[in-house]
Amino acid sequence: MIAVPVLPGVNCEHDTVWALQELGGAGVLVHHRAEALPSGTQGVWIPGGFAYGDYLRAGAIARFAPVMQAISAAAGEGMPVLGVCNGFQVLCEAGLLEGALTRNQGLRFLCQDVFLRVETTASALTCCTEAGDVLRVPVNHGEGRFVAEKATLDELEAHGQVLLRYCSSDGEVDAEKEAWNPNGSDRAIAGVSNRAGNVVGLMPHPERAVEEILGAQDGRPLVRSLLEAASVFVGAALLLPAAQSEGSSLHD
Amino acid sequence: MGKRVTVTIRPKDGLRDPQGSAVRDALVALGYDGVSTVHVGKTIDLLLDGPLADAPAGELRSRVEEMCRTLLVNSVIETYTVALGPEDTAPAGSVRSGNKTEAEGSADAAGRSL
Repeated sequence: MIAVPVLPGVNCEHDTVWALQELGGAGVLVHHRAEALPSGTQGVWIPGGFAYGDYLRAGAIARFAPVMQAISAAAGEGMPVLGVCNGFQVLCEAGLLEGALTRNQGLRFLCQDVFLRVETTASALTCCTEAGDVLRVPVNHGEGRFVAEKATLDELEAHGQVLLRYCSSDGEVDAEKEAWNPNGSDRAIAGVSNRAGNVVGLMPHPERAVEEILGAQDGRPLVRSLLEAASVFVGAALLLPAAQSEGSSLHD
Repeated sequence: MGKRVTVTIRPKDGLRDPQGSAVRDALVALGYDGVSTVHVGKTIDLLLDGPLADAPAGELRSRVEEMCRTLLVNSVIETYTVALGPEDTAPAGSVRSGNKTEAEGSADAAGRSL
């Protein structure tokens, strides 16, 4: 079961649970004040939106939510933790992933499909894909330009932590081409992992590409990867205390 | 008596700043030809009272720099200065925030001032 923390101001939590169900998994919404993840949690998906209004910086305040302390601890135990869009920003601010997400190059809020090339399959986001796969998945962000120091970028590449790059429809990568890398991310990086591969983040929204009726299904192997990684995670799952109560107004 | 501390945050040198570029282009379009570069940052005013306001300047500065590292500044993309009151404008600097590198502390900050 995948825990989906509902930080105040996120808006993709129901799509996320839906997508998990579409792929045969289960997602459970968890209150942001919960100090522990529900018992039986084998993975976490931090959904997109505008946690804490993106005040100060996207993800800056969210990282101090009580549920984030539980998620950080679980990530340290090896539990698969995925952050999508705002969730990616939260993971970077929390120091669970390297780099930062900054204002898009090119004066635009981006709401469009992009193409992603799979760079490595050794992660909780890409274990059910093949290297070189090209996936069409939508983005929806104003601050999605991934940046990091050159040394950090080199390290990420050297350790296979660059999972996905923005690319052309046939998988060609050129970070300078706005049509392919529309937010101007360093080295066209769209998704990264931590060194262990269990903490993963990306700006595009795989949950919005899981059914033909949504216009694309290329998000499915990414969601399936998280479920697959979670299914084999046993680590600390049994050690986590029981679930917190779930209110109807999770954003309060 | 309260005390005011001002934290000024700027985009890190060398980082592309699309917002600054857009503002510069707008100024140039308005006829301000001499504007070569614009960077957009932010100012955070802290109004303090209680023990923090009464703390010696050195201790207060170190507490505010801790706030910067912990929350106010993302050292991957930003640098900052801390000003204690209107007359004190000594620079702080670019300290990595986050759990991993807190131990680097303010020595690094002093070495990488704006």
